[in-house]
Amino acid sequence: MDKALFLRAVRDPAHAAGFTLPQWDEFLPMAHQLGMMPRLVARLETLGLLEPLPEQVGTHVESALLLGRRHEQLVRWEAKQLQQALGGLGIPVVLLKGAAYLLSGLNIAHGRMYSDVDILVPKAALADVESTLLAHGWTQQEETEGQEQYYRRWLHELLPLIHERRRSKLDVHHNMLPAIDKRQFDPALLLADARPLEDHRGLYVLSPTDMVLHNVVHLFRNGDYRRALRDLLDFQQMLEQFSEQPGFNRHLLERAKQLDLLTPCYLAARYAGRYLDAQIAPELLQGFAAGRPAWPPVALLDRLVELASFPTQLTGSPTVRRWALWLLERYPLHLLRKSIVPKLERLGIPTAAPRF
Amino acid sequence: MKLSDLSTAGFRDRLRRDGVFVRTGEFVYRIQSQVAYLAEPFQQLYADFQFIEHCEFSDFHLEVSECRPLSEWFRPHVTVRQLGHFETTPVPVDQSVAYLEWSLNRCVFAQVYNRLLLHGAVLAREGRAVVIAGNSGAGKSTLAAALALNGWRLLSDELTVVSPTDGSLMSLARPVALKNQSIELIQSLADDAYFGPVAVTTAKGRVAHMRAPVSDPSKIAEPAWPACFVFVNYQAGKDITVQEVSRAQAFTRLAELAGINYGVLGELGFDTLSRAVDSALCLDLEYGSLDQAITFFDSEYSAILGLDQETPAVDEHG
Amino acid sequence: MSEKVQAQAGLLWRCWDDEFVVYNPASGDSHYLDYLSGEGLKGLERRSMTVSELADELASSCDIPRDGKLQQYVEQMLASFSDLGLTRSARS
Repeated sequence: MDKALFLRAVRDPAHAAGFTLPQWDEFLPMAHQLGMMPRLVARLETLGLLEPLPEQVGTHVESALLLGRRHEQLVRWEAKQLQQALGGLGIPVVLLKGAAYLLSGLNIAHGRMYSDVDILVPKAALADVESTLLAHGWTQQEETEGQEQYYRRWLHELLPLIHERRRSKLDVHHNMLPAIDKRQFDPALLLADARPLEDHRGLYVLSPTDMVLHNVVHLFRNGDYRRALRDLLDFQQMLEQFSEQPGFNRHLLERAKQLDLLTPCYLAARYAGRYLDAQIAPELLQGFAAGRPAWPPVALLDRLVELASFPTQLTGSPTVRRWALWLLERYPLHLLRKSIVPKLERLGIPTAAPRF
Repeated sequence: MKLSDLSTAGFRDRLRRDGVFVRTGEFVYRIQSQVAYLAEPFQQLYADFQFIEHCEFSDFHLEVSECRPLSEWFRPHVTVRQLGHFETTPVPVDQSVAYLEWSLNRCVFAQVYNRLLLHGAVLAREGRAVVIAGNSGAGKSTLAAALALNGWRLLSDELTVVSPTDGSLMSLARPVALKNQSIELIQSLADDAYFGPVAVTTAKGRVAHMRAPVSDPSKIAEPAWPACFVFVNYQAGKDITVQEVSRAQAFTRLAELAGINYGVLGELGFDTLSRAVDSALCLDLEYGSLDQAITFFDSEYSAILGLDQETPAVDEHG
Repeated sequence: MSEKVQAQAGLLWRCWDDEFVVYNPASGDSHYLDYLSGEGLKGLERRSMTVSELADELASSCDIPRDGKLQQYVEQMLASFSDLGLTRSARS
């Protein structure tokens, strides 16, 4: 199975419905590796295309469906528990990422897998939030990771909390960017524009523009590329769904400029276009173009992002992927220059990528 | 044609190139390896399995590979990798059989959610199964191996797979994992059974696998229906005690032993497990010697369930 | 605790002898309940009740003395039901 066929099924699962058995044999481990099976199967279910699938893949299809439903159930339940615990504080508790997509009814929530629930709260309320959660059964994890990891990753959030009985993980953020990132913006801007959830008093989600921006920040500023293809799909499909609202594209551009997030937007549009054939509005493409990074060379980034995002069966060994992930996570774009090129060359990785 | 019908060289060659396909229950594994050490014990452990020339689709793809280079200074190490899923940390090559077996179980536990999975052994007579459940170290596998050598049909060792559709238990007939003193104990009961190499692992002590005894190859894939759930607890030197466990208690313990898979099945899991418990005898069994345990299953237990007798099955709970 | 509570909707039950297991479709969790807790939760499925009302009902239906001990037992029972999400306030 080549890259093109794989990507075709990722962006439009209907293609997978036509796979032969040997194609499934190759495709399944790849889809699993990126955690995409539940999403793909949920889409096939919506399209009414589960029936024609070969019987032999039944175990995997049914398992993915059940897994997707269970994750949805758990996150809905967790949101309810959060509402009960924090609802009395009188502060906005903003659900982020997957939980937000699910509770605001976005299509991209179908078949989504969650490793935790993320919330954003005002920094001033952090101590209150923490003590209230601890009183409601959440517990602090012992710090197990190295100090460096701690400062690099957790400084825009508390250490993850785990609920004692349910074993669910909760990340409490007070900012969108790690503190180490020099180009900060005031998270109060996000809170001010957050939208209340009708069925969950006290819980909020980011405004549509901020939701899109958070998606690109997570990928291209926080550097978490393990689920890059999923995040790019989210980006593409959120744009599709939101751009039906009048003026959305204009708002998105203004907000991206205001928060200095044109670069992650540019990159998201670039890779969503390349990998997923995303049709992005010309006005957005023009606006995002101002964010094209001068350094590192985009060609180098292309190569790294591909190595980090694609299943290893398509790009090389798991070691190479781990390495690309490590590099992208550790070195935010503006820090890449000093550290990366010598390492790349020493390891024999070409710094100019072939055209995709 | 069975896997034992291949020559050792032929088996090794297949393992190295296309891979060997193992169909167990409803699952097909494809196993590839360049590690020469693995071929002989692997072929022996799966000797009774059907030889499959080629399979268009395998549920799980595994690769056992040697890893380089640091560990080789000392002695060869291997990792077991499931394509798209996991890779074990490097282990010395003489543990490759144990880790491969462990990985084959892990594939199912980590990826099959449309069946109810319990940690337990399954043995059957006349299509009626005993599920031997219990925590790790409780003596499940030892008892399962002993019963399998005493005329019971072994459906599974570590992995109990319950179908939500009809409540049947899947027959996997894969090797039995024995640990520490159980290895010699079971070896002393079975002169002609095949045992794989003894691996000395840091996590679980010594581990060896015994080929599943097959008395009737035509029944190897036949499912069975749960007649009894036994929670075993081996206590050296103790006399055997058997106590009935209430169904609600048994349900709760089994749900705990099932782990996350039970939760993913949701309502279907609740329904499947309660139906399984509903028609079964649930027992706590403490035993200090295998002889006593086997005697119990061959006499009293069989009498309760009406096995090997003309009288119809008697349900204790009426 | 004079608040009325009711059982979560759609609970699934299995009863064997004097014990229950119950499945909560909202959380996806299963729970074991002894006789009194099972009868208590079933009572809250029929209608919403306060602690005292439930204690009264259990005393008469299960033929046990209506004393402070029962009151305390029911209080604890309702606290753990609420903690597990098996019940909710009847107002909301």
